[in-house]
Amino acid sequence: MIEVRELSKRFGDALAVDRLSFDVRPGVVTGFLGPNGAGKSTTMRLILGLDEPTSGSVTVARRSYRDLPAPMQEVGALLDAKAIHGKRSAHQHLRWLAQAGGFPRQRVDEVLELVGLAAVAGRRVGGFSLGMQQRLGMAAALLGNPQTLLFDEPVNGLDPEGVLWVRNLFKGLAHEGRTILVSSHLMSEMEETAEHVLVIGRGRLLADLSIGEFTQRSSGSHVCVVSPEATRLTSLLLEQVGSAVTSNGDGGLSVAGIDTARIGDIAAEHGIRLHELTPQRASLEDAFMELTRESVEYRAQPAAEKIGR
Amino acid sequence: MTSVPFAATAASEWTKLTSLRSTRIVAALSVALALAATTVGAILTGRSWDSWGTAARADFDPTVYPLIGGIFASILLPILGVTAVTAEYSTGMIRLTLTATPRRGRLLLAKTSVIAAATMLVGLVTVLGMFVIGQVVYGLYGLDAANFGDGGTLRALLGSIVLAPVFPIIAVALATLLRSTAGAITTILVAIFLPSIVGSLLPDWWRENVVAVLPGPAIDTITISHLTDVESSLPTGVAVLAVAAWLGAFLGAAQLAFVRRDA
Repeated sequence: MIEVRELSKRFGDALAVDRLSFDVRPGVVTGFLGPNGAGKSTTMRLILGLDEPTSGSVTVARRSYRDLPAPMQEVGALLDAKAIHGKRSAHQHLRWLAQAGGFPRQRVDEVLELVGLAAVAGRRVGGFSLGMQQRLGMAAALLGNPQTLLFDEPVNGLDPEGVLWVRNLFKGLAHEGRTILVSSHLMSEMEETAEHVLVIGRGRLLADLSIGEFTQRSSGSHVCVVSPEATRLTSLLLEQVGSAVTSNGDGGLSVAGIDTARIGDIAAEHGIRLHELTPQRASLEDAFMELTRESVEYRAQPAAEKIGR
Repeated sequence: MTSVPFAATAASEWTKLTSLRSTRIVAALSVALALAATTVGAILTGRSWDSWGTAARADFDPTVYPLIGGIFASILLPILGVTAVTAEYSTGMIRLTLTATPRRGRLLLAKTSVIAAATMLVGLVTVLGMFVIGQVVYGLYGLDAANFGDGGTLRALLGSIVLAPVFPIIAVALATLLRSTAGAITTILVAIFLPSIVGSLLPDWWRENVVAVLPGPAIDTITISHLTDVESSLPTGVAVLAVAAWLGAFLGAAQLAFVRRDA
């Protein structure tokens, strides 16, 4: 359990994190989403006690990170897989970490086995691919068998097989009742893994909901209806439910604010034939874009506008 | 859940230091250059002895002269202290280190202890090696040799070994404050050599009251002032206090900065 309360962090003039409050609960994978520069990494550093908050508080297992008696047994984190000393072997790298946590040498072999790096344990990590470095970072995070795990953009640089492996690892870890926070700037990445999402933009919390609620809240959700009696159906829908209906010609309707079952029932009651009745669920990507539109820090000019100048 | 003992943090820092080949290279180079310089120096002394005047012969001390090679260890060993800190920042690994050990005071203490232990070990090998080489060469040329048993000799050798970590520890503190390899190495070299460069140019009062309390001259006072004339000298007890005060000041400043700053 991670509890963030009114957390703010200022770097000079820039407010990187702006009065954030949320809980990260055990048992599910929580996606931590936001455009680049939204404050995700800063928040993670604040959770880990690497940076001192300007105001507010954050606790892990009800304690401030710096006060945890055995931090590695409580929290495992992977912030930047490339931030390692390239001249050490994978085994040496995990060895100093294991010692820092007070864990036996055999634990190093166990986690190397777990992430599939046992065969390259003696090789220098500087020569590892980004994917292998991500796996090494996972191994480091898992050394202390912690209840809480934080991952910052963990699938960057992974091949498809690695991405699948990471997703299953996260799900498995959450299934064991652990608290998992995974950040990403790509919504699509979370669709498969996260059950809960926190969305931030410009350091502020924009949404804290389950992934289902998240999609539903998006205004993009609607039902696509095709009927030879579209005009009659339109007036019925407007009368009975007051839903928003837009016609796109040729008997096609786009209906918002009502589900397929209700539309089907109304049509049947009045003997209106339907040729198509399809729910159009907005993708998470769309919902995410909509939510963060206002808070994207660096945005490209629309192409047409640029060319026009 | 039991809390992690200090020994675990120190063991971790020891593994970090010794798992890098650069550490072994710097340590081996320190020993090799020191012993080589001492060997050459002792041979030159032996060969030219007949041409030495009475004053020079009176100045000669068989314990102090072989320690000349130690200058190489003095230059090289602080590099271990600097890189032990700055490599963490340049690679970004410091964030992993501080996630594993969020108690920063303890972490810096562990790093300092490990650097002190390692450099004292290199100091032990270097000092004993230089001494033995010196006595063997002097013996070959029929010069008076020194003995471990001599009180003055023992103080010089033990002092040199025990105080070998002083500049490496200051290097750890400087690197923590500056977070820059080049900056910290430059500063530590200035700290080592400035007293002997400008010391002789200064008026007596400055030499006796300011230069003498700087770490380098204070170390010389403790280790060899009873056997030979040193540039600027203090009472031994004051010199011990001066060295302790420098270590305390540097480490204190480093601790303060390290605990307060964002990683």
